[in-house]
Amino acid sequence: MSASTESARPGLVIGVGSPHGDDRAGWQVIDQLAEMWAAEHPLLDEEALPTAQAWQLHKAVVPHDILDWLTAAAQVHLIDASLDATPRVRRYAVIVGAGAGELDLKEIPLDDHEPKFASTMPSVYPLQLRSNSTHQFDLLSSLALASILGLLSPCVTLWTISVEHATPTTALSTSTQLLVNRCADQIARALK
Amino acid sequence: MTNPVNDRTRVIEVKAISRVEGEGALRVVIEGDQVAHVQLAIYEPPRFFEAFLRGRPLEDVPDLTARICGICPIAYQMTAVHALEMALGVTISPEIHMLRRLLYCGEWIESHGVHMHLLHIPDFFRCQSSIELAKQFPAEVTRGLKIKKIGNQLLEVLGGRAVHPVNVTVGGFYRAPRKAELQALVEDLKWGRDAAIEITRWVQGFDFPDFEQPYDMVALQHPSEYPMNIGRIVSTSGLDIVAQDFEKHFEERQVPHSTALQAVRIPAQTPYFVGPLARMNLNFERLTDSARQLASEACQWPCFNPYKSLIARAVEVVHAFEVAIEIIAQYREFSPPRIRYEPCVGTGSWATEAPRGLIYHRYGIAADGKVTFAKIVPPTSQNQRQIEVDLKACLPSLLLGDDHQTALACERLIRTYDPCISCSTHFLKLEIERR
Repeated sequence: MSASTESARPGLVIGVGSPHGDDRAGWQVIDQLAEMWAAEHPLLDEEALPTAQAWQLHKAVVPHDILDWLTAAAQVHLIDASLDATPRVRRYAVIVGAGAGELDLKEIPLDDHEPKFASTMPSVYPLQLRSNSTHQFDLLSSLALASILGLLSPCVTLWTISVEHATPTTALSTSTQLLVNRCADQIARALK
Repeated sequence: MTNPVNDRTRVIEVKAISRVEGEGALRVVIEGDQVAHVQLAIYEPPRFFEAFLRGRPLEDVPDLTARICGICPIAYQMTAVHALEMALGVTISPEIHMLRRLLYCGEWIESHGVHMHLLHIPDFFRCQSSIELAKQFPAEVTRGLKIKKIGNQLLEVLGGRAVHPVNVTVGGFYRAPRKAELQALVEDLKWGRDAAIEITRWVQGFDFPDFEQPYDMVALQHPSEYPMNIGRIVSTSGLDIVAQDFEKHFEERQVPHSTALQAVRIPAQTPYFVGPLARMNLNFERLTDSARQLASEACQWPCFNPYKSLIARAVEVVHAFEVAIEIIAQYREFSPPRIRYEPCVGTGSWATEAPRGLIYHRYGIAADGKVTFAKIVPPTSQNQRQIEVDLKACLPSLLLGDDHQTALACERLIRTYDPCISCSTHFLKLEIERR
């Protein structure tokens, strides 16, 4: 798949999250991307923005909501919070395996904008994603289902943001906000 | 999976029940050939929603209660606004009532669609997950996901967004939809109705375990509507009360093995059953004509087999699509979208029908419009005791198999209730003993 073919696909960005504390991270990335795009297109009014955007932005509260929007034709970026001891943003290429519903994740260093699918790249599957507990049908299961149903594009990138807590009514922590900023910036660059 | 304590005692444990929302476990103790003990243990952390609603402006309640559950936010919003409107003496208009029904249709469609296709139907084909089911039935799973998507679209148009809808407020809606916005959904709704009929015909042919219990089924009942937002609370044992008398007949109690409260009938302290099967048994004649016809073809009513809750959900999806189409056909734009009110001292309580069953709220309001008291009883906490009783009744027929198969069979029974464990852990009673 050449870079030019990838960039020709419409972009789809989905943040998985909830309103609880740092679990907002995925949604916050979506909000920031929307603000970035609106800032670049000041003449478009709020109602016209969603249809005028080159990329679709969505928020999902449960992972299987991504199945509402996935299409094999899209360049897809998914963002979810992760339970990771080290505060960081990580990026993975989602690779469809040989068997039906089989997936693999290959981590891509953030400063490298050209995805590499070399077998020497470390695989860190399975992840401890925050979305794991919802019906135990987590994000990776949703992607596996999408793959079986022919909804999964070959250009799917999973971004994870390490979070500290997901306590109801608490605000996003400062450290997570910094990670959100970094993630949004990285995705915006990837979508250009 | 099995911990033999001695030669006569077997303990079967399921440390994490799969394909249910939230985190729960099951512990069964068998002595000889008798089921001595069944515990549905919820260990999801309690989230204290009732406590932190106190002192908040009443306008915050719909938005905050919607956060109790990502699967059924409308159920919490609807029950909350109706209860608060009662406390304030607000009477909503027929137009607002219709729109609220339409919003609830969206949630029933979305929630039932998800439960059937991602959680419950796999059980009937011995699939570990919907991923395995999709390998056998890709067209059917795709159909089910499209139904879910249409439900979400309806929630988005009416609720402002599908993710924790923001358009619901005390007194009505912040914004009433334009006719054209609703009309744009009709083609998909009609497709969804036809698909839901196919789904009902598909599931009615499944091999349902032969298990019936003399449940005390509880649901709302209304003289002219299949109940969603309004009705009296009735039961198959003859109860017939206004929703405001809920706490005279039902109570939540804490149990040592669970972070979630369990509700029982009082004074008898007996379990009861809420959900689509209870609704359908108590409101069969209020279904739309085609939904009622489908239900009659699918099985005998009243039905007391919890596994056939799947049929009830499928029929309710047909019904919800037909009600949604009818409401949109009749819809005329109106103003104002909400009824104004002045904060005043008051108490209000209300019950509505969440996808999983009866849900009850009670609020107290101070003169400054701040919440003084909140009580929230979700459907899953009401079913928990009944689930334990069901398991105890069902287990003798399951014990001939190995313990792994027994555990799987127990999980399948639990899944018929479509439990939403996150909802049931919204509150924990805290007692402090100082010595």
